Amino acid sequence: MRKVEKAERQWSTLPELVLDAIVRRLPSICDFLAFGRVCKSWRTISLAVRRDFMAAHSPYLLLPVRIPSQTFEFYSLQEKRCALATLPAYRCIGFSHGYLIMTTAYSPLLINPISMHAIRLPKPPNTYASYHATLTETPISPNWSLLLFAASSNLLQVFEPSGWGLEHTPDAWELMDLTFFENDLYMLSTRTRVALLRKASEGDEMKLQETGTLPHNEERDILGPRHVHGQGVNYVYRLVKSRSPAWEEVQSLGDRALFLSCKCRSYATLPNPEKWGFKANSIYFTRHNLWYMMSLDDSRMIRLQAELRPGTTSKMEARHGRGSSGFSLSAFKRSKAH
Amino acid sequence: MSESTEKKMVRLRSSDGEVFEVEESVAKVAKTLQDMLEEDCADAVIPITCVRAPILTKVIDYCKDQVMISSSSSTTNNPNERTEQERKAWGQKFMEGVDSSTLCELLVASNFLNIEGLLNLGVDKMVSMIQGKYPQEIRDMFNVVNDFTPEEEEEIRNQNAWAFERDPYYKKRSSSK
Repeated sequence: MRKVEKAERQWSTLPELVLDAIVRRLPSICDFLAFGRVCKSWRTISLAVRRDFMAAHSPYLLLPVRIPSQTFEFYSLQEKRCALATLPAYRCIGFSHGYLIMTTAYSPLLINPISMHAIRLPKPPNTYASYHATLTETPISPNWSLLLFAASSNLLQVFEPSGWGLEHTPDAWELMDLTFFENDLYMLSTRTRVALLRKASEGDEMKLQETGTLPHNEERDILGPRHVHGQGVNYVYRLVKSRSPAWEEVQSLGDRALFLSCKCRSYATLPNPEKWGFKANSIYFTRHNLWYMMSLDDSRMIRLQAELRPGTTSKMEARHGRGSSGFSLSAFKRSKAH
Repeated sequence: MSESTEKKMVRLRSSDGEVFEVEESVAKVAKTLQDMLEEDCADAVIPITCVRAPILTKVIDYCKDQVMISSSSSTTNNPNERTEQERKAWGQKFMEGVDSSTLCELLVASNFLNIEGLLNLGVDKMVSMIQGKYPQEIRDMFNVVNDFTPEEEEEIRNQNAWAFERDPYYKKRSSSK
């Protein structure tokens, strides 16, 4: 019994240096968070190294939700397994700048699932059953705004810290997707027309102005992943920069891997995927709870061994129904090599 | 002791009064002792005030092993002469059966005596014990007192309501014993 008392006293006074070494070597974010909840001194240590720890750990992939629930599954590339997060909303309508954009009773809610920072926004003027959203900047910065639209509508609702504003798409385009990248807004219409829209000038309110042409900027790529149903094949298209924007099939992703959501609604590109055990120039996607990889080197599709969710049956197929085979839109800085 | 009379001996006293006599080279594995010995400020018995006898025994075992490796492996004073695998296996064996309170005392001792290798072994052991556990399981395992006030707990719980929880499938698999 005396030994226990001794240990009790010692554990909470374990030298800071030792605790620091321990927390830095914890293998996952789950372990890191559990460590910080043990006692006050451990919490202090974990908060002090939080930034370093998070930077050293791989991105999480948000897995598709099959049944509406507040529990979301995040797949760790590093640990090759899922972590669960209970979030204060049922629907996720987008992710951008490290934040999940969710809705509760039509009101958008921004949540960083790692820092737990949350911003609740007022209800937008027009409410639709189905939204898609993206942020222009991280909501920690002073000039951020949220772009909200419903598929096949011509209305873009813009939230800035001052409040909601409404914009109509040029020529009453029906919006299919949009992405914001480095002060430019790229829009995709139902007829696969693409427009670039920018702010009239720096510091101005977001005003939609169709430029007609895409910038001849070699530093960025606009990708449009496209899933063809029935064949189970994914293609990636690149927006060709010319007077009338058009799509061209991408032959190489260079030193990046592409992770597609199950409906192709959104995706993420990961630079230097070898660092986390994934192959560059490859597309990763899910079907029937299984991982697939398609290499652009030889166009071969491989089923990966790891199951996303052990013991669950697939209902993901039903989610493919809406939208059939569609493009989604995103942009990223092109690597120097390409 | 008699066969190695030319070797200088060092005496260490644990917190509970037990005196250990070890070769100087063994003591010098601990950087703290090495500094003391080199500054010649330790001719009598060196008191190791925060380390109990059973722990000091374990520490000395570790140091002896380090000396054995470095003396058997040519001239360099480098314990890395073993292959990575051998070192890992040895480290695992050394930490085998170490319970949580011993582990804590070992960590404190290796930190105080500044023995990097032993500290690393302890940290790795601790990490492997924490891995995959919930906060309450960690507290139970290491007898750590939950010193959060109910209000603070509530606040952290609210924050963590959005934070990652463990995958229950993983949980099932890891706690099969």
